[in-house]
Amino acid sequence: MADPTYQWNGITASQTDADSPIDTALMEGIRQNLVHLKEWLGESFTPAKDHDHDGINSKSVLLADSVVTVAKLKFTRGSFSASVGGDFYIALSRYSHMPALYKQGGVYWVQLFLETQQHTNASPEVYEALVRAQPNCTETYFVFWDYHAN
Amino acid sequence: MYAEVLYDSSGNIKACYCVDTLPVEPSAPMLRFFGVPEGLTHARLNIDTAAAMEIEGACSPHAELDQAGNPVIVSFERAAYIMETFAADPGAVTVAGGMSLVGLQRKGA
Repeated sequence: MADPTYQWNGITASQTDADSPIDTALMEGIRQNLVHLKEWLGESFTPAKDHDHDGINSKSVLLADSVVTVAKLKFTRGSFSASVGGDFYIALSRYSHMPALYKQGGVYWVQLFLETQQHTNASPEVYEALVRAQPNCTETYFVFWDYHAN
Repeated sequence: MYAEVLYDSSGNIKACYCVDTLPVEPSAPMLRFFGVPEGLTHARLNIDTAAAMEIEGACSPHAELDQAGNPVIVSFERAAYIMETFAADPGAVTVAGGMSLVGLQRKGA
């Protein structure tokens, strides 16, 4: 980013006491400081009280890489569990992470298809994942996924 | 907490879908299924506050001591906990917001 037009001028108390003149050095220092502050606050934006960095009244916030970590995101978990066979289409939130399958027992086959279906005729849209278990399955299996709560 | 289940004639929950969000529409199923054994009934659950607190407390990550006495973080899947702890109560049906909800009863009660 560009440097401000003027660097900050330190103004001492001795320059503003009752015996000190209002000279050019003092006034020019104050003027340059005001320019410095204006440029730092956001020279190109429309001033507003309590600016909120919306890109209009002040510059938008720019997040550095790797600043947003998982711990900063509001996550919750959805889960599905069954102990019967069949095809189950599980509704997922749009912004979900990694539907995963966990199964107890090794007699029956259970498959998780990450091929999601999008029902665009629903409002709002519904996303689904398919978990398929053998018809006579009696073993318990889980599907879980993390998603953003809002 | 929202849960949708398939239960048998005894109320035993054989499949359970559990999330924190509401259904997309009052009449829209969150869980679709095909080829499941006959005799299972599809229902949305009416989970009272006390049961919801119990489920949350049992399933959220918490510390326990393992067999060696070392603390470990454990959690439990909510859908699995509901299946193992509760049964559907077909005799307790309520209608809320246009949705028909089936009550819960504790297994063995």
